[in-house]
Amino acid sequence: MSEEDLNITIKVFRFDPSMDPKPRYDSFTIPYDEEETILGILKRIVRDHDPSLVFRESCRIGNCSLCSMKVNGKGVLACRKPMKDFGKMDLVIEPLHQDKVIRDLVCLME
Amino acid sequence: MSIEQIADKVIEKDVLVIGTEAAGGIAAIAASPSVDVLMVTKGVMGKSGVTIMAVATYSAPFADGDTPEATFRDMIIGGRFLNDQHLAEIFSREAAETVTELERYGVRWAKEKGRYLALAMPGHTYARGCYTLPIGTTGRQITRALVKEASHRNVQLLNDTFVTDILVKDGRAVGVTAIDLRSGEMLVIKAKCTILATGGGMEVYKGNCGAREATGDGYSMAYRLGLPLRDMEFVQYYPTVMIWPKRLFGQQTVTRLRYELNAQLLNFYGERFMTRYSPVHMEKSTRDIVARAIQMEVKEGRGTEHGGAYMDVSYLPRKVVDAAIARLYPGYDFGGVKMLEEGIDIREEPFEVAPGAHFFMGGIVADEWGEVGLPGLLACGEVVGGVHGANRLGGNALPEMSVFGMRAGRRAVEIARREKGFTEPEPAQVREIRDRRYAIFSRERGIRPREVREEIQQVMWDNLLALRDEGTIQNALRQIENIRCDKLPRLFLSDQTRNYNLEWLEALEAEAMLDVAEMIGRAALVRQESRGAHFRFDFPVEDNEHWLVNLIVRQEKDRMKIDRRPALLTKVGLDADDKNQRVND
Repeated sequence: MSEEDLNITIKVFRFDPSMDPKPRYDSFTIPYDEEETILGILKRIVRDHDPSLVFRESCRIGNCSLCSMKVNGKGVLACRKPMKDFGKMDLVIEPLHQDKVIRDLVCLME
Repeated sequence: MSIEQIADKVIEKDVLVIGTEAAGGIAAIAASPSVDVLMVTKGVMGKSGVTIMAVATYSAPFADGDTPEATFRDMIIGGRFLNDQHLAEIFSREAAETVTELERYGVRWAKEKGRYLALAMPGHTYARGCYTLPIGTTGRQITRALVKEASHRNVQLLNDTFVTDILVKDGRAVGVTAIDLRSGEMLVIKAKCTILATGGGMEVYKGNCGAREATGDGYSMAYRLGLPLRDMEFVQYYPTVMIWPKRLFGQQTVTRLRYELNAQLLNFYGERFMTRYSPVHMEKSTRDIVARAIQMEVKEGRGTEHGGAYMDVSYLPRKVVDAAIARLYPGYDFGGVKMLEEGIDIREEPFEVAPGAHFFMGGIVADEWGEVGLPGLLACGEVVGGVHGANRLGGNALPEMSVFGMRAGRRAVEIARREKGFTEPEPAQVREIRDRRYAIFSRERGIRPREVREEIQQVMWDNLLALRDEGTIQNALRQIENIRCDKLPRLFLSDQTRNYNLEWLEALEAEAMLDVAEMIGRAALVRQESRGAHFRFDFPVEDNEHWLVNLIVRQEKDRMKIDRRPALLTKVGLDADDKNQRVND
């Protein structure tokens, strides 16, 4: 199987405290691209699957740390972390602090 | 109906600062604790905005023989004589003291035997570029120091708060309306003095090394109040940011290899193309010349695979590169990017770079205290135009934020103290803003805000980059007009929640971006010459006979109007010109 055919399942933490009784995980299927970053994946989900998903980003070059989140349980800067760093595994994307969620992957930062 | 019945929350503060990074943070610190100060940002202080991206230097005249006068002269020559010379002179005089002030807040400048170390930067006749270690951390250190200092001084802070409109009553700014992005609630913030420190508008370009937040909200707010803006056609491009691999897109620190390690620029065919554009200074030419050269190569089909040029130090002996890097970027760490760990060995291979929209020279017309012609409103930092004229020299951004941030902060204290109490905004104005800003929630279908944002960015990238001509500019203006009339009224939200609704923020920002895009386009169309960062294919020469003028953009009867105003060469005249900096060097 060529790499272009490989798909990865991305599970994303979703929670709107103003509406939802509790968090849930939504799954999206994304083609594997080893150079794609976590931030790139999230933008792709917003564009192709679910425009209501929210996350933080600012500098996009690893300076500001606003896009900090957890991928497979590990804290990462979403803008700097390429897919290849996780092998070809499925990914679980969660907010950095689940007790400080404003919505989805957006947390209180102060 | 009272304000309290229309807004969800009403706040009163002596001084309100919109924007929390270098300009806004310093203004707030300068005003506090003398008066009660509130800062608001649509992002998160210390983790948003463009200051943190300032990887390089902070110019101040400390070198032997250097003077404020020499700094001033360099700025005017670099700015191609369009600067507000009064502002530039103040900048030159006060930049040095802001270095020591920031040191008091905790910035650790690189020093040797008690003297600030400084790097030589293009366009500066002396080495003025103060920096922090490791190299590439200047902006980060400043933002951290400001967060700490502001908190020491009890400056209050509201993150995730987007200011939508400035409230005016009886010819005076009396506060703002804002949206608390976390809840979607509408705030009215009454203030005796409001300071706009919202930064630049680089995000209107697809390829930019600004930040997500740099949508030019402040330009748009000022424009909608009928205030004049100047020099909006001059957008600076960082000449050489990394464009590949994708995860390193936008890295700027590598640019310094041009002057620190004699990096060469090569096109697709391996030709050192700067010989054709700037045979004397080559890769060390000022950033506008280098940016334009790369763009021209790409446009003429000689670009690299991902649309740029190769930057190369691998022609140097490995030993030379290792030794220089060990001193400049120990561990091959370029401001947090460890090149070797990223699989990029610059000793072995070139890498791809291209220009990115980097800084707005233009902005609101303001005086040396940030007064903009509307009592109760001040502006400072990148949102103000004039200091840098048609082009900014490297390292001159951060001192501008400090010098004029401090001044605006001090002036705000005077203004706040003069005012007896708070002025009640006009309820009808607040009602109208609320209806307009929340109207999007009643639309059930239409166009997604992100699509429009990306369309604006693409139009600007394709047509109003470093290379412009009448055709591309007209094309951009047509598309901007089309987006404004046809698409903006049809924006809708795919999710009705008011809780951190990012699409709503994007819709609000899109309106500002369109204003900014149109200002750049209209001014660029009028200026039929090439000067500084503005280059026109159809008018490739700097024309001092006709174009020593500033273009003033203003809203008049709902239309954008452009006036020509002769540039005032009050102190430094054309006779100071240094041919080495000429456009077609």
